[in-house]
Amino acid sequence: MADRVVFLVHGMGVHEADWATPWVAALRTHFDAYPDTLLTRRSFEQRFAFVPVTFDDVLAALLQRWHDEGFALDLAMQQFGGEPDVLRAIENVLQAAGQDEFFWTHAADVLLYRGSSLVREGIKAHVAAQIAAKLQELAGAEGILPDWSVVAHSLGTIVVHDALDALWTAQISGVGNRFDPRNPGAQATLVMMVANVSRLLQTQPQAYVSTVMPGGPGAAVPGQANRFCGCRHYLSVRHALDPFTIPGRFRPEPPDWPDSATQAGNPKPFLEIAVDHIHDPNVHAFEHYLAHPAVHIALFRRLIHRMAIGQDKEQVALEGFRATDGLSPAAAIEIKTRLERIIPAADELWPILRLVSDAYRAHLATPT
Amino acid sequence: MRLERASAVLVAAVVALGLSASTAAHAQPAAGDCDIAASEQEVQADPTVAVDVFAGLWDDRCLGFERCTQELCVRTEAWAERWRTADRAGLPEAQAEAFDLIDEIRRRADALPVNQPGVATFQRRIAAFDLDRSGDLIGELRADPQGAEWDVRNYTLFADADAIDALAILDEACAGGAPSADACLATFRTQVALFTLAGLQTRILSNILKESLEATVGYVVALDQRWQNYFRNSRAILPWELLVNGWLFRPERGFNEPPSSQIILMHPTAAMGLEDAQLSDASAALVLELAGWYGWRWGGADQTEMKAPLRLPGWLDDFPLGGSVILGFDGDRDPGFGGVLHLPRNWSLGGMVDRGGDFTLLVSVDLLKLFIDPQSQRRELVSLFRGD
Repeated sequence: MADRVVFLVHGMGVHEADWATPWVAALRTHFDAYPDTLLTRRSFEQRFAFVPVTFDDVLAALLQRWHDEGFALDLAMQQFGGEPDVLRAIENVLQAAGQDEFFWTHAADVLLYRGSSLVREGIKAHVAAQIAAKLQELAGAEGILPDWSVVAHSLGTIVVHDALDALWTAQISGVGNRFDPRNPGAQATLVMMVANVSRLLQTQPQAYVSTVMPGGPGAAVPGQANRFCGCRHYLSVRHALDPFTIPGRFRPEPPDWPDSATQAGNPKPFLEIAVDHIHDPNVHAFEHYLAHPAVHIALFRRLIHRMAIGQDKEQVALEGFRATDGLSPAAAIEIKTRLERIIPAADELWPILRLVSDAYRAHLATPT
Repeated sequence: MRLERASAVLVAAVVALGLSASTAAHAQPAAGDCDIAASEQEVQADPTVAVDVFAGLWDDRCLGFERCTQELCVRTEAWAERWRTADRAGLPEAQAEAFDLIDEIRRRADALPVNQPGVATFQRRIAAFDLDRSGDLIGELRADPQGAEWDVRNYTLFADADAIDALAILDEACAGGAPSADACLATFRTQVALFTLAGLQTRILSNILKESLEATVGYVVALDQRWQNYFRNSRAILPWELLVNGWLFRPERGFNEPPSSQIILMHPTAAMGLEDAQLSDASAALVLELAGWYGWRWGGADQTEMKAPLRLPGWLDDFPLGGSVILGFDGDRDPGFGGVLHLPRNWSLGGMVDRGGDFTLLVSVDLLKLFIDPQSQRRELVSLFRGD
């Protein structure tokens, strides 16, 4: 068994069974870049078990059901020999749901999660169940919870936020909630939010006052005596040109969130990392974020220990990192210019994501 | 020849030195077999490897966890086995034994040198477990662990101001410029002892909380199953129905149960229209459920199955029920108005009356199946009504 389990949670879009493979490959590449460190004194497999957590199956099944209903209605109308306007209109809407269009494969995920409390609640339970069941499996005969962390991307950040808060605050009658953050191993070591939209898409509880907050076991959420900080560390990562992370940006005030006493820890339990490198037009991609040493070093240090990668190695990695690796200066400037054009205002609300999705799709489709 | 041999020896020596230097820098500890005494010797010989050796012991789960071979570890493991298998009669005994073990951990912590880093903090935190054996304190611990929080991970015990970071402590005590090898060894021994006791305490608490783990996971998994069944098997799931039913759904913070009823709205379906008793004259009809209701209760062994809204006898209890007001399209005549009842096994039965006053009996089945193979579905429908 690996030393720790890291749950990976995807963002918007279609995710097949092997969706996490490129993520793990990227993590391995960066892991291997730091030989002769505390990090690599054990192998990648000994250090980590990465477990993909999927919620796209819920959304895909829903869209497929709509499509099937539309398909059947179309057949019914053919059999019937007539097509009442109202039914044809309904059929058109339903049939579109299964089509491989960016709106239905990406933007609809966001709209369904944020716009439908039913979908949201179903996905919360689905994600929490995957995490809880895996932890129980790894807890073994003695019920010792393994060291565990969560790394989420894009839409997955709000999904994980909602699911973990529900898991950490659930009221289980009789024997109590094992995932009460005060219990041994119930806290996550790290919650890492990449392209964090948990504030933009928040409902209840809001992102700054939920239990998805760094602190020691038994540290109460400020102002909430009976709710406790669910993780040891919280990383929020954004890219200056990622249009999804601009509106409703996760940026607690004051910056020593959740409080100065907690932030006195080493390393700081909460850290916002901002990057601006351009290696590819898709700056929103998880792997693109992870490529930056500031991101993956912060990740490994919090997963293992702050001494996992020494400052000297960090310095070398940062100095050797090229902000426009693999691109000509002209191509990088063109990508930057295109992205700057579609960046929404910081005070926009979540429905803007529909427009951002459309614009971002057009950006990705444009040859560089 | 002699020169070649000498060169080969020299190269081998250089390679060996290089390897040993590399190994020393990030050694797999001698305690790969959890030999604490061998680890101490290694640290005494070269204090700069203390961090690495300690990390190895922790990573290999030698400190308090399953690979620990110390006497108290063996005792704890035996207790854990008894705790897991204790029946009602044996439970008080196993519970008393847990108190004994926690007391023993506290006693051993109290015996550690208080001038060593982390010891005072550890002693203070373990003192919170000075349990009153007369009450059901293990039960209370499960329900409300206030004041008895315990957490160890990543070479660190506790967090915030109480954090005991073994690697940082050893780095300070044993890295270059440390006072002496003996001082480093003393710190190493203390950290090994502290983390062994911490691991044991974690094991005892985790075993006590195992029932709670099973209950919590069981609840969340069943909740997920109910939600998946809601999306898979309920009726009103079209986009506008989700919108309306979502608006009526008032979730609170935390987990929420799926609803046990739905509003049906503008829901298209297909039916067989029967204008007279001649079932063989059944014709296709289109039905738009203008508005309706569909309800159930969650039942079954794990409360994840959709059953009749009220308890019904026999197999009737196995299905949700409901009904809708409909607009029906039957052949080339004007649309008719009527109603349908949603019955078990995905059947709906109803009727409509058109402007001319003609009545049509409507029987609908699964829309998709009906029209993928209409002839077989029609035969099945007719045979069902004839009682074949």
